[in-house]
Amino acid sequence: MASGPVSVSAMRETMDVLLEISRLLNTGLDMETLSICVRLCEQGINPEALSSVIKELRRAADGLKASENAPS
Amino acid sequence: MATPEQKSPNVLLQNLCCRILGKGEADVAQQFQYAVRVIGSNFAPTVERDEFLVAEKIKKEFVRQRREADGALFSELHRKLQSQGVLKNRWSILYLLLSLSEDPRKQPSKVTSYPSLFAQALPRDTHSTPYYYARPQSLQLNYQDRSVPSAQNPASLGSSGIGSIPMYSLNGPTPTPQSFVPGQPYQTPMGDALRQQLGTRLAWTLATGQQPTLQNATSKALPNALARGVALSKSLKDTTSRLAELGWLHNKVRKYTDQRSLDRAFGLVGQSFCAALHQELKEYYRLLSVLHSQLQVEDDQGVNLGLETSLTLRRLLVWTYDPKMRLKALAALVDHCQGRKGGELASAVHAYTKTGDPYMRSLVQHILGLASHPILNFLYRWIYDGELEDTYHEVLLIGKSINFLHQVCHDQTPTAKMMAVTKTAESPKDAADLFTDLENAFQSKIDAAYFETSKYLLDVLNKNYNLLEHLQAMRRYLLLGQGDFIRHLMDLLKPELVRPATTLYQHNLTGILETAVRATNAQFDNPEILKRLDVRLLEVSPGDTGWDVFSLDYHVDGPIATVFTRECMSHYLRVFNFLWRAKRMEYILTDIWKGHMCNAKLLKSMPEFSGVLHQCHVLASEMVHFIHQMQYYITFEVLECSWDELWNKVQQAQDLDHIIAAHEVFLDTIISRCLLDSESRAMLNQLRAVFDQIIEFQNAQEVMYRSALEELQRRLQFEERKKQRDSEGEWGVTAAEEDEENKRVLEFQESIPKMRSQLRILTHFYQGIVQQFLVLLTTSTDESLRFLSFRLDFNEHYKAREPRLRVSLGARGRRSLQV
Repeated sequence: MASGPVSVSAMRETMDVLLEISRLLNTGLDMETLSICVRLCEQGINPEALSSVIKELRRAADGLKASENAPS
Repeated sequence: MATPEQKSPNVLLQNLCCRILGKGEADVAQQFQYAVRVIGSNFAPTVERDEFLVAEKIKKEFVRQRREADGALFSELHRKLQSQGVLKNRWSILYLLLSLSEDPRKQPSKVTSYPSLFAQALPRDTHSTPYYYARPQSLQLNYQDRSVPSAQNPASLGSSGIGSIPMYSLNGPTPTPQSFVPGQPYQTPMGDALRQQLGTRLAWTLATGQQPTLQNATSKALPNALARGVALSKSLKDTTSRLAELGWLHNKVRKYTDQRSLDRAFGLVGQSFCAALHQELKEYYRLLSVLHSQLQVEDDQGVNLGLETSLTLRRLLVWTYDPKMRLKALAALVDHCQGRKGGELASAVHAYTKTGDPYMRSLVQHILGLASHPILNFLYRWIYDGELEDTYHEVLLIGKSINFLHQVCHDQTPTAKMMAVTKTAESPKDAADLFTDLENAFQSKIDAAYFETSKYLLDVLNKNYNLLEHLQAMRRYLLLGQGDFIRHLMDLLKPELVRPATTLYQHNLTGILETAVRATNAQFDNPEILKRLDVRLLEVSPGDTGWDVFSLDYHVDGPIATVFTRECMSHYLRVFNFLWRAKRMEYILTDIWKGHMCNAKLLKSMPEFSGVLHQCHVLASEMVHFIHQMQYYITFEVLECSWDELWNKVQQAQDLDHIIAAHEVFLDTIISRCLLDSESRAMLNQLRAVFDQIIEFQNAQEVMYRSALEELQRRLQFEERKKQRDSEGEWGVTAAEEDEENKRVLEFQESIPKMRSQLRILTHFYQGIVQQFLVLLTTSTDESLRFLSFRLDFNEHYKAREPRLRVSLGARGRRSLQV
């Protein structure tokens, strides 16, 4: 995160921009997920690893949904 | 995100898992474990940390999907993002978004069932990192500290160090094959083709070499990992390690260029060498991108199993054979050129052209051509413009002719002109010629250029700057070649110069000089030269007369000062002073002779004085003989001979250096032959003494003449008065007058022996000095000086008086006989 106190409005603007980019790129991230990702990235997490984790998690979620749907 | 509090990554990750899976914290434990482990073990990205590159990739992605409008929109948004500057790791988040992006036109990506993978992997994980699960909330993962993850690496990823490589390869949306997922032993039986496909991807990542450090590590680690019993077939291992070599070679070359491109002191040659290497690497990248696109196509079509056209490991091996040879050559070259720069570097490269392999030779030749291009340019600049542009001190050369033209003569025209002359030689040939033809063509090219330039320079100096005329002027004025002018100048200067030196003023003398110029043939000389002629007064020491300090001067500046340097001019001044003194002696003797002639008749009536006159005549003719011989020697043996030599040399000179050298030789010869060098100091002192004797004689004789003439005058007056009184009818003389007259005559007659003895002393001294001088002359090593001694003593007048002369002459005669 930026070291100084970042104004809330600036933060929101930035997030809006990122959300727009995210929408353009069709990443399927909602605002909250995106904000979590941004925070992680800002802490120096390797984005490659993060993206793979997110993909894995999505697959897992799909799998869970499929397994939940199948019996019902 | 409204509250930007600093949450630990783990908490955030857990939130993420809950969010995506849509479940509570407790239910996502497995996935959370997995996420922490993956992130923890891959803290260092394998891609370039460059926001611009990522942005470009995103734009390309849009173009690929034919969504140019969206691409523009993205650019706009990206710009906005940059201007806001809230985020630190913009590239990171952009990269993440890119990785997660999906092509909206495509079907949702092929999803195979992965839960099983998680299920398989997790038991091991709980072993290796048990406390993640136990205390997820309080755990602080320090991502900046490398020691923590690297300590975990062997534990969690021990069996497959290569695990991360294929996972995060370049292709975004397509699922990367998960066969190397950490912890999963590679045991699933797969089709050979599929395995090859995987290997291809692996080798691919290796070969592209995005991250040199990681690359090196992996290329080393790969064989290890393979050797550690990952169940690949032997042939597969083999081919993969061969492909890995490609990556290693690439990294070696890349490392060199990367290091060097930042080094500003590496020089132009080094930079162009790096550029040449880059060009080669670019070719290699082109090949890789072709391969990549083929891979992409295959990925898009789904996995092609066993098709003829598919990209297999073996195919890859064959295709990359040539590039590998090239890379090998480059790597060897890089090794060889390590630590060299400038011309040395070019030479090192040149050494590699001496190979029998035509393929390799052409490659090295090409690189050499590029690398030596700066040298060639540099040389051309030097040869044709005479400028040294050696900013990096790569080559050490000295060129002056053209630079001389530019700097000193302010002559900018020759470049174009000479270029026209040498244009044929300057056609932009391959720079490699420079090295291959070093002996023949290039040498002659340089020679030709040098010849042309020198000739042109001489032309300019002669035509525009009258070099030869200045040389002649030096001879005429400073070396007293213009006889009428010097004689007239001396006539005019005589009344000025007999005064004490302190009462002389330069402007008076300059006026006299101009008068002398106007009155003699010097007036027809080039005004440019006459303008430079000036009077100079040397430093005055007490008791000096004008004769001692007077000197002619010649102002030199601009281009001709290159020939007539300050040192040269001081030589000229010394020679001038010597010649001027000798000339003055001649002048004095002329005056003495004139006195003899004029007074001889007058003084006939004083028979008692004739003895003095006789002595004077004898001494004067001795002196005249001496000075005539000296003048002859100086004029003919010294000045004219040396001048002729110099003139011939100057006429034949091919460049300015020759002229300067010839001129220096000329001056040295004159200096030494005029006895002005340190070796003949003794002789010069004797000569000075002779000159002094002459001056003394002149003074003495003047006094004698004056008294004799006064006496004569009075006697005549006395007779006159007698006659006058006679005619008036008075007594011619009174007794008192007669007494007085007789007394005076007696006085005069008594002074005559004094005069005679004074003359005898003078003669004695003079002859002594001349004998000394002759002794020195006969022992001199210079032949012309020995001949001078013959001339001075042609009738052996001095030899008869000086025993040493006889001895030395005999000795010399014997010496010459032995020779």
